[in-house]
Amino acid sequence: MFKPKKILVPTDFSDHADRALEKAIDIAKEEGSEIILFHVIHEDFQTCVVDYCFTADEIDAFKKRVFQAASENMQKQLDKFPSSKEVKVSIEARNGIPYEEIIKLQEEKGADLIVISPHGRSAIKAFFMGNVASRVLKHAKGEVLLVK
Amino acid sequence: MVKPKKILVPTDFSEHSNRAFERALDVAKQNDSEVVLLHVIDQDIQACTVDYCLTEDEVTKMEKRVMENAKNSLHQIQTKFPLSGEVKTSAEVVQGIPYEEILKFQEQNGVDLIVIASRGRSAIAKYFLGSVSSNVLKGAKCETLLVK
Repeated sequence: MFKPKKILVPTDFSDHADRALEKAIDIAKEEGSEIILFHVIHEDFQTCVVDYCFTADEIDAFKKRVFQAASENMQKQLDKFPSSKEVKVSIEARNGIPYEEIIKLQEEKGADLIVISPHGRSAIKAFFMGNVASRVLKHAKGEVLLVK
Repeated sequence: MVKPKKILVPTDFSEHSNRAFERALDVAKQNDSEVVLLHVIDQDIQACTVDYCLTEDEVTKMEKRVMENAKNSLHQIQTKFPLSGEVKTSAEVVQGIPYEEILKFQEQNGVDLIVIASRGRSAIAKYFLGSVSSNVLKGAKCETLLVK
């Protein structure tokens, strides 16, 4: 309905993210847009604890596992929606602060629409918008569709 | 819902809300939707200052003038854009707290999409999300498209 070329869908694998993804697939099918499903790994890969440090190799191996898991989870999420097969979808994972990475990726990929649901995993009450969504709304350079 | 039937565009007559309206016309044309422009008069006319009170008549007169001005401004916007003639539009003026009235209007009138600008007249910073928009995004029961 909005004729976007590239739709960015940030996901935290919650039901809310499912709804946003479903909506994005709907739009993409109609408008021939492509979708980037995106997960931000909000994790500091800390190398040292009080009296022990991981080696760089160990950290790398761990990071790799986390990224691998993120990709698998995104694939699983996509599989919930058979119609995603009719749309060009790519998946991306990055490490960092969610809203910052979302805005960064939007600019990098030239996504002209972000579809996001206001309540992610950490939203407490229905009325309060998740932090990530509200920051994305504030900082996004393009249009944002908020799905309830 | 891929195709919205009724699109609500709250306006404070700023350039930003004009952009939202233009965008809504665009979406409406593609989807055969109708667009409702809504302006909320948010000042309560104060009848008394420190040492003088307006008569009830005077207040009523002023309220009427404010209402008429708002209607005129709405009419101007309604017909301002090239797409105006191709889309079914209507305009409404109500009095109250802007975001509350916007949300109320959405629920009472079967609006299935709100198109709103990220800032209205009073927001200063470049990437700031205005308080009205932010409250609408938080409280809306339908999908909301945030136009930058």
